[in-house]
Amino acid sequence: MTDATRRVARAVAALLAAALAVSALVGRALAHGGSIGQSAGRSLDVPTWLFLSTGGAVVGASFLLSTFATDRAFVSRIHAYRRALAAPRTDLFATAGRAIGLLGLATVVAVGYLGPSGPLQNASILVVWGGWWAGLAMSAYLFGNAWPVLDPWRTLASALPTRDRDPAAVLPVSVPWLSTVGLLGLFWIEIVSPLADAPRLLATVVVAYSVVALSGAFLFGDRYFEEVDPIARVFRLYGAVAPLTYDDGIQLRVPGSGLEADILDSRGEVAFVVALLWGTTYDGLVATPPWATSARAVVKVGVPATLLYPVALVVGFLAFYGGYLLCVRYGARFADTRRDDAEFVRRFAPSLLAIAAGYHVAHYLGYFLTLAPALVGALAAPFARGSVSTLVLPGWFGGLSLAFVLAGHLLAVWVAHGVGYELFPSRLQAVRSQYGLTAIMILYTMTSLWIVSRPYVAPPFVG
Amino acid sequence: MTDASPDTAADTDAGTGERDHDCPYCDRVFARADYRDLHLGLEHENLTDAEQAAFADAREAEEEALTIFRYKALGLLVVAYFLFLMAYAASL
Repeated sequence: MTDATRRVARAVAALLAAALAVSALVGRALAHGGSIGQSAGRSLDVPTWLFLSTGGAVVGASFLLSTFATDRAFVSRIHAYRRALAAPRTDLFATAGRAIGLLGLATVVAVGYLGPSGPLQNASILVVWGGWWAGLAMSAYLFGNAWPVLDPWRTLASALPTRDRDPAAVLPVSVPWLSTVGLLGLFWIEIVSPLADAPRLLATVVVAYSVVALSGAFLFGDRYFEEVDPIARVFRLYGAVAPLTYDDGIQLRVPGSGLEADILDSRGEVAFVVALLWGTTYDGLVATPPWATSARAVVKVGVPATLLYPVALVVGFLAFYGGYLLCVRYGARFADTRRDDAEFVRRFAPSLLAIAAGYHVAHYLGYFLTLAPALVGALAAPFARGSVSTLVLPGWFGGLSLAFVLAGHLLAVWVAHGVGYELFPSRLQAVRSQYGLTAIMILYTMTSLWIVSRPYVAPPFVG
Repeated sequence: MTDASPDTAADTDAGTGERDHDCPYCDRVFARADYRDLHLGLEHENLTDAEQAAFADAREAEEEALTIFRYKALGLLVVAYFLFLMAYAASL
């Protein structure tokens, strides 16, 4: 047994070394091109198709290497590893967290209406986009999900009366699908509206969201935040990637091992995961030069610009979702199994969250670090109109984005490996069941590497 | 052996004409007898001697198949590495 374990450990070490070697190759190829996503008109020594296929091959190769880890005990030991952490006075931290959440909401609304109008001077813009959607979301998958404590609407709702109805019984549509539509709607608003530049508008949207959240909580109680609210769901799902979990005291686990569990209950929840992945991708896609060119061409033909963005958002989502369903179902045929397709669709979907987290960090880490000094400055003096300081990131920082995209995919491959081992008695079945999933992951990787390596241009026809 | 014997628990799927293999201890169904045997050894305890032996056989066959698969995967990796090396050499 120890011999087998050693063999597997060697295989895993080889997997990591090979993945690092190939991703270093990708990183270097891109580094030639200068700073990714920042300077237009750069030239690549390596043609784009070769760069993209190398990225795809890293994912394919890591899948093949993961199949060398065939010791069931070893795989399940890694996935089941938990270590309890001593956490003194969690009640105190929770109270402080709730206070910070409420204070944050009050700041966003008050400073949004009354503070300076410059986006980089206004604390409400910086708190929402820099602190919350970039910073807190990153902390949710890198460390652990703190949103249930910080969520100001949850805190407010706990002090208000509720009718505690069951959302599934009251709402005429599927609750997870409603949540999915809500998430796509939030992505749409984020991209087309000038919310990142107009503090007054942002404060109004936050107030509107508060009204929705508190009415939902009045009707459904805590179940609103657990089942309906798309934001709470995003944070919960990101939290499943994280190394810290709060289920039973604070526990440390191997990152991604929370994704191996059966955490999605229905097809609608799978759709939500895909919507999260696609929304983050779309966010990057609309800021690429080819998008700008084709959007202008489409609008020139006579399609209204206001229609273009939501239609592209929905079409892209359907393509990602359909691609996932098709690949996983088709892949299940290789496994020669009597299990239900719906089960594969549900069980393999959480691995996509590792990919979504990788995209998110690739997309937002630079943004967060750039804005962090401005955020601190604006919070220190919310109503001052002083000069703004931002962080200037070095040119090589863009190369890190590629590493994050690949890292998310490698984690996803490893998670899918563990899920396959849990679902099937035969290890070859487990391997074969992932053929389709690996294919769609390679496609996702190439798409996002392409997006991340394009220079940034402001999306046309918005704001 | 009792009526819980794995081999009598096989029946025919009307739709495809393929035989299903049931687990005698839980409601899982398998496409192949060796998958069922592996499942028994991995998920259930207190197996009959016949089930133990079937598990050992299936395990051995699985190991052999895995070894062959590893060689194929390794071959594929080498081919991919070679092709990429060529592609990089040609494009520089």
